[in-house]
Amino acid sequence: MNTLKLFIAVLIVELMFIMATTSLFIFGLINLPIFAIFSVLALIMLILTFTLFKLIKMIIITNRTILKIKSEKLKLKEVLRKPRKRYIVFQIVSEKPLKLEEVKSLIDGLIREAFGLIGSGNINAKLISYDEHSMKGIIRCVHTYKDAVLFALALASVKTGDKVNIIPLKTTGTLRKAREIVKTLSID
Amino acid sequence: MELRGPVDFCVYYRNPEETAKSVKLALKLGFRTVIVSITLKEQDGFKELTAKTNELKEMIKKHGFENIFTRLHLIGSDISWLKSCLRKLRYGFHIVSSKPLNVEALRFVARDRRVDSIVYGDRELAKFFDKSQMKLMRNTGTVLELQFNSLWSSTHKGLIFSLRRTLGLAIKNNVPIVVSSGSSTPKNIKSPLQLASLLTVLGVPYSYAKQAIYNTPLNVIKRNIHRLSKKHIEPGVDIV
Repeated sequence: MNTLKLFIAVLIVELMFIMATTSLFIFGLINLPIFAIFSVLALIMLILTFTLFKLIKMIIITNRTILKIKSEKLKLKEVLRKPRKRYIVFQIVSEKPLKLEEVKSLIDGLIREAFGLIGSGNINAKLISYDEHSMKGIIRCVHTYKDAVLFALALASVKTGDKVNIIPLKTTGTLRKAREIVKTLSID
Repeated sequence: MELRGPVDFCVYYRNPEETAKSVKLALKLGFRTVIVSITLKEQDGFKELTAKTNELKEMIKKHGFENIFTRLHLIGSDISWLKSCLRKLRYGFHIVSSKPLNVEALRFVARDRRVDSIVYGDRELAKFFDKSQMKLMRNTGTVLELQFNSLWSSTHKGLIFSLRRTLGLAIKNNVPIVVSSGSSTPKNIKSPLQLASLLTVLGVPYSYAKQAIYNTPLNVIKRNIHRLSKKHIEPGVDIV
């Protein structure tokens, strides 16, 4: 935008110069050869400014595209990077004890229902372990989608008509720590 | 007694035993402050309400709970009934919230300073949580409340869309947002992070989501404690 403004300003100055030389020639203050030299000079200047303007514009556009490509490459790098994991330790509150298969299908169903096929693929949630006696377990997911998993777990009581409630106890970055938490932490 | 977050802004009162269990579980899950809500509908009588309130206060005393506050939740469409309720019951509870059932009541509740929070409600009313509603709420300092459990009771297709729109309008117009569990039994209680995740999943920045369970409800409670104290005369006028 600034280059366009500069170009317009230079153009106005040059046009004024041409008009001035023409008026001087009309009033007979300069003769034909001098007028011809001035007008040729003005024309050359006009062509030069136009080409310069085009060049600057091209440079700006190429710079922008380079920046865009760089940012896209960065994004691609982030996508290709191995995702960090989060382990969510949870406990189930329900009247009857739930089996491993039931919990697996419940969690998968909740995530699939809440976020769809693509969302659940991105989340990549997996039930790592589940103890049927204490009804505590560990879910692994991608660190950027931790909130999505927590949200899906919160929907358990809504979807089962207050029969089953999944309560997340803690989130950790390592499986070893998650296993320690399963042994120590409880809501009972 | 120091007020601390996170706050569960709404645990519905059913009976003393179940509510005590719910409150205990909420405190175990990490909530530092819990607000127990008693619902009053248009067809309910005041006698039942006073009995419930007494039971609740006894339960709080019996279990020795700290940082537990009472709240009156008004559900109705008649403005005159809402007015009479507010006149009679405002000073009996720490917080007064409302879930209006028609547009007139929704606008009235937003205009009234005695109401602290408006619960985001039904499908029919979702479109009326618009710019003018938000302006009214901002002027009176009313909070927009989302109750996790009651949000999904009537599943409609446009829920997420309208919720996102309402949240966007609220943030744009500086209306404070609060997320509560709205649970009545221990089986539907939610942890603080689960409540915050509702907002983050809807695209609200984490800082706002955190405020919705920490600062905003605490500010409402502090404001009401001050209002109910003898020092307060009217907004802007206090005995020093």
